[in-house]
Amino acid sequence: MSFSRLAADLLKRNATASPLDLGVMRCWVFGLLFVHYVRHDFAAFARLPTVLWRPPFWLRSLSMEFFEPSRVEALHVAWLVLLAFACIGLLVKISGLGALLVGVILLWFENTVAYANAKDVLIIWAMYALAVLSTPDQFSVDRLLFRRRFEDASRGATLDKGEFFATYFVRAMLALMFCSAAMSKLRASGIHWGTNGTLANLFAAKALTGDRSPRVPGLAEALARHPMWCDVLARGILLLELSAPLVLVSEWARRLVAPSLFVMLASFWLVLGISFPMTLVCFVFFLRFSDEMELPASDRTGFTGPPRVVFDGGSRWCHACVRCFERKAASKSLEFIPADDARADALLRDAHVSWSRGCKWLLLNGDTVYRGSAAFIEMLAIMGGGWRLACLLYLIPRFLRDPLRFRRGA
Amino acid sequence: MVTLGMTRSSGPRAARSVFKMARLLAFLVPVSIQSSYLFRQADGWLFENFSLFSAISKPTRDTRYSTYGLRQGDGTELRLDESAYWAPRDTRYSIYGVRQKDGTELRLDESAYWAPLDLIRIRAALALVARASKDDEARLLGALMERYRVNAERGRHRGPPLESIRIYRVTYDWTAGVDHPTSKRTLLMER
Repeated sequence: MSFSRLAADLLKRNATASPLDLGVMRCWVFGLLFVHYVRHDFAAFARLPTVLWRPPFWLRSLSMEFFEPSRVEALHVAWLVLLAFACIGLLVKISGLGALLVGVILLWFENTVAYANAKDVLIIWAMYALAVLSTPDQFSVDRLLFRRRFEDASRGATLDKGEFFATYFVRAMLALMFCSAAMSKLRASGIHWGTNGTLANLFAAKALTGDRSPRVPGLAEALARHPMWCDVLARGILLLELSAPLVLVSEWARRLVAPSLFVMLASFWLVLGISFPMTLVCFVFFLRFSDEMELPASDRTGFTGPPRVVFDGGSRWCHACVRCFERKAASKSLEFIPADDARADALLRDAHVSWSRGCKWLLLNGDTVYRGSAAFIEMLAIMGGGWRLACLLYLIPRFLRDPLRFRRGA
Repeated sequence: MVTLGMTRSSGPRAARSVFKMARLLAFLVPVSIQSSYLFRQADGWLFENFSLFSAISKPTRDTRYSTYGLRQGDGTELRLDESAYWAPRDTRYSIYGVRQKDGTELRLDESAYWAPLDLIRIRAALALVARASKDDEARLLGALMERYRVNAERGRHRGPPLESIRIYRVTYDWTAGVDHPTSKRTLLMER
């Protein structure tokens, strides 16, 4: 196997996201952007003195007067509409690209007045990933409105929606951001950044100057009283930031380093009152929401009967659910098979799917297998009517949603 | 007549490969530019090296106030622009409001009073107008007063109506320890 093939395999294995994952990520990113900026008054920047206008040299000819308050307000309204459309997935491609374009103009304008803030940069790249690098049309209103068009399209070859490119891109930019920050510290201060009480002094400065309101009052002062511990913390921060690129190549690093980086950013807010809300949103690209698997062409059963559900026969909760499903969805004809039944063994063997310990539900619908809570959500969706709203449960990350089946089954 | 060597089925295939190549470029270009910031100390917008709290090295030309001391005995000058002489201390712009009712002062270093303007931006703006003109200074303080009023109307803060706004330069000193800080302030602007 060639090196490039090996590298490609390694990268793909570490950025597995399904089209549904991408759709849910789109919903979260554009939705939280809408919530964050709905009350933001961009026009306030247009009312500041023009002496604060600091465009880059290649845009010096553009005057601040161009961004008069009424024009900025109109752009803001347009952006909110586009964000709302992109969040619910109405005209996904157009609304996504529009939200990116108008968002870049507004955020660039804000960051050209007096000071350029690095906080907004990552969210722009997240919008770019969702609008330019991918087509996140799953989990969208478009799918409901133009169902026939999507069915016709999917009848052909499986379309590449760019989920790998989009998720890997945002993860790469996040990793580079943290690594750049660490390199910047090392270049400017050397290893002394983690050895001469810099962090303790920073905590003291923030606490004593009363700048902003930390979420945990008194914590910065308490930390500042222990310079040695602050040095240990500073070295930990440096190490963590330098190890950020590991999330791109290693599954275990992704599980360990990504949450640690998230906690570190959240701690800045708790201790120093400095928040990075939109950067934290980008961590959604590390989450999984769906648990579905297309059977490989060689393993396809060609079975066209009703969807079949394998459930944990030893769980009282599963039995209660099955009884409820059979009562309510008699006409939808889901076929339920307990996991300890011989038919389940044959089914799983035919479909080349393993029944892992602790698993409660598995749904085989056509040539797609759903596991765990995703199987349960799909079963509810198959029932139709108002039950389809259960799809909104996909918004909860899998790592929070899946453990419920263990507790309930106990 | 010129004919292109393209069959009916190769058209969509060619378009797909062009699309894939364009997407690969759209992926690689921003990642490559951001990667270059790993090795250089330059802040821009959209591509950054995120140098927050990293004590960035100074550019080769810089104009600023400089502190010198005269040595006891020989009276020779000693430049004291090293932070080691002054740390732990911190000097910054601080915003105070004067209450309409009793004329007492109220410290306003909270983003809720000024949103969407944040304190870092306001301080950068104050430094810029201080170097510009009195008109710009008055215009900025007027804009700040307006933000304060608008945010109060929108329920973002419960600050009292203000008579005027004052900008102080405040120096904090915690040389004697975190529990014994002192501060000294100088009035710079008022409106």
